[in-house]
Amino acid sequence: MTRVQVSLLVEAGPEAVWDVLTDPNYIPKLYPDLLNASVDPPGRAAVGQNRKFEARAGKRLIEIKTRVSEMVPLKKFAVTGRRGSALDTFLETVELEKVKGGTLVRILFEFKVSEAYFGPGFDLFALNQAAKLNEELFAKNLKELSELQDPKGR
Amino acid sequence: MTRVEDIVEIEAPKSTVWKVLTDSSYLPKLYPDVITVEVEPHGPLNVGSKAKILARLGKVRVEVYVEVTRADSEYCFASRQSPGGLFSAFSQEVLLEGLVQRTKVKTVFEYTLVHEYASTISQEEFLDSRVADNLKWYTRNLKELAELIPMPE
Repeated sequence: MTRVQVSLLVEAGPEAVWDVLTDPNYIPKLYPDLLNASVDPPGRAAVGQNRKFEARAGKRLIEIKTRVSEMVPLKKFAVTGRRGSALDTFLETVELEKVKGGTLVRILFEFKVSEAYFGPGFDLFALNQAAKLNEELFAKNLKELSELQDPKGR
Repeated sequence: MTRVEDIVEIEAPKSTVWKVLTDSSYLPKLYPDVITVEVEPHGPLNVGSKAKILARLGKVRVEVYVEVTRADSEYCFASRQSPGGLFSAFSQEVLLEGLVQRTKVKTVFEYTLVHEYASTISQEEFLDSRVADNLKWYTRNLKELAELIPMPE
């Protein structure tokens, strides 16, 4: 099991961060190697919403499945993995705290790449490192997207 | 009017390239600064499909509106700008030519930024080069996505 923990200050209110976190349209921009997302039921995140992603692992097209497991508006958002995809286990927890100057975001990822899904011939260490890098870049991208502004005077 | 043109050979059949370029869910990956895309009607892009695109330029959020004008299966895909948003004029044409187990793809973009819109964002020259970079990346990303190999069932 690999664990990634990141804390960062987003220079925007919790509403802006929450808006990005709970809109599935943003998912391909949050994780570099996720290509697209389909969610059931459609629309904004809700507890129990199933999510399926196409992703790339090197030159391979892979599939990842998750489910929204917990939502405390403007405070906590959690997603867990579902069986039958490239990750045997997956847990993503994002906690928000309003602070002076913006929002303090604490992110925890725990995951395990599925040996059974990839089979022999794949370098599990490299796959694990690629997944870890995606989780780390999630934090940077969440900050950038939450801090976007409208054009002046519009 | 700025023109961006590119030609690549993709190691995938025309059907795969066509599937990627007409699937709107891939657009945020094809253009680096596109964030989200809403398409009406839902489903693969076809003549008459209208897209509302949210993109970023530096730290600013911008909107782009386009409509598909041509979708000759596995041969030619074209779109143009709809009123509103970042462009006063925008057109995209993608031509596919089948080779043995490969596809030659030619893309041509032509666009003009809305001056008043652009000036609210940043220096217009910077903006123009950023837009041009995105359009150049489109073809490279199309190649990368179309060449991905599915996992065996």
